[in-house]
Amino acid sequence: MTSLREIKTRLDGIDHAMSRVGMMVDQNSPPISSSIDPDAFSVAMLMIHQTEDSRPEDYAASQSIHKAHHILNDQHYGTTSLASLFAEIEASLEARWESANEGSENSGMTGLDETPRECQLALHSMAKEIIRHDSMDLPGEDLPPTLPPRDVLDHALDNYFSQATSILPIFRKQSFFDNIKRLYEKGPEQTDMAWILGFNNVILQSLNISPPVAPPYSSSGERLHTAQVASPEKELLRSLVVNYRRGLRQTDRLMEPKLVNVQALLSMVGDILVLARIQTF
Amino acid sequence: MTSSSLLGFKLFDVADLFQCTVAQESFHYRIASRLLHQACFVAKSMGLHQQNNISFTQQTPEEAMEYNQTFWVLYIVDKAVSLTIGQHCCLPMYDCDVSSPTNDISNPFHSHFIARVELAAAQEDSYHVLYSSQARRMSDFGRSGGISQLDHKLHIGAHRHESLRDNVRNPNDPRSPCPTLQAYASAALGYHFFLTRLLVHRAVKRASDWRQCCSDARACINMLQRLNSVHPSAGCSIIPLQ
Repeated sequence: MTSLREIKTRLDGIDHAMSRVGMMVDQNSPPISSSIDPDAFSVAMLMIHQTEDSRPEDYAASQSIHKAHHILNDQHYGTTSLASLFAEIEASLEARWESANEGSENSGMTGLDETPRECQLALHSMAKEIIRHDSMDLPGEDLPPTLPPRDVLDHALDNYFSQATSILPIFRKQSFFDNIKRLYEKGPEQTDMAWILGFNNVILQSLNISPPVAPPYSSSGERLHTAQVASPEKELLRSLVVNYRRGLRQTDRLMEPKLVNVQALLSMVGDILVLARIQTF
Repeated sequence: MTSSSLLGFKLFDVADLFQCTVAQESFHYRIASRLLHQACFVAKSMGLHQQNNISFTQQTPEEAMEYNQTFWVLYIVDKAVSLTIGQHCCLPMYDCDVSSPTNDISNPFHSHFIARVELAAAQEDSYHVLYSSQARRMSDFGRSGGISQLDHKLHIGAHRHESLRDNVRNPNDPRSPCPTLQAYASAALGYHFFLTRLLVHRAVKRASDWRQCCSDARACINMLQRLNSVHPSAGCSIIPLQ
């Protein structure tokens, strides 16, 4: 029974991934982020945080984690093209396995060749690891960075403009707010990469400044390094790293003689420090 | 710098090793350098380094301050990265004509910002006098003269901004709006000051200079340890970009 439940859980995950891939293909556009309900975001973070330490065979916990991840994936950047490809391959193998299984049952054959199943399980293990560290697009993909969720950005601004920018002021507060309003009112299909990277990097810098979401002490009383903080921040960081990587691959779009391009590039220099420290780069 | 020269485990070599390890393994300096070069290129192409000559007539006072501050932040980061890598900077002061940082009364750390700009200028001078391609052919006597002048400049700057650096001794001062950030800003300033002086004095192999280097290296490490006790892992954020 347990194995069937696991299979069902995995199939649900693959089905969801296939739906997203199908949407992407139909729309021919990168994953679109939308503003999130802070309560839903907090619930998702809490669910992941509470169930992270559960045993792998705990069905309810794994369901909870899946649901939380789906909430986040729907409302942040979605999966990368590499992870999507893995999901598509898995689904294809699963369909072939089911088809072969039905055929063998109808003909009364026994001793079905387990090779396709083994391949699928091996691929699933690989995909699970990649999705866990899902911060890579396929080589050659030129997906642009996308607007981060407005609510997350709003939460980050106070920290950033009261602390980070005081020592080395890169952005002017009013100008920053004006452009937030301009870009978010126009909608998610934005091409102003300099400002999008600026927003993304401000969130990264504010994560570097603010205390960790989880209590700063482990259960044994040791003080946690920021990089060891529970996965809620890591989920957000994954999305920010994806955006950063995409911006890094397309810096040729920041060559125009405009102040915002200088500011975006400067903020990216500073973010290398943050990303290296949290070891996600 | 070769690994064999670092095996004597002198204190300032430890600081050097730390810097190398950090530079090579943790901070992706090649990427930082590439981004910085591009930022400087874009800045120069729009005349950000010649704001006194080029007329930005459309600017409001707030926009003018933003342009001014962005240039000086770029100037500071340029010196920090290029000195760590061992290359000449992209924005040499002889080719820039920008007013001093605009006084921003809303920023409680404006004095730290001014101090960092002055320190960046000292870092540029240090590279030009001691580590540039021409400077390597200088005699020890000429180099010693350069070191004395640079040390004097650093001494004057340190005295002028002594109160800013001293705040790191009282990281939990309740009078500060943000004691942790105050400690961080002061520690960053102090760290870069001692590091700059260390780089000045290690250019010649004299016992007196080496003693100074030891003292400065010890001060750098103590400062990072003190900062980490206030804000864990923040010490690494100091190096080298802030």
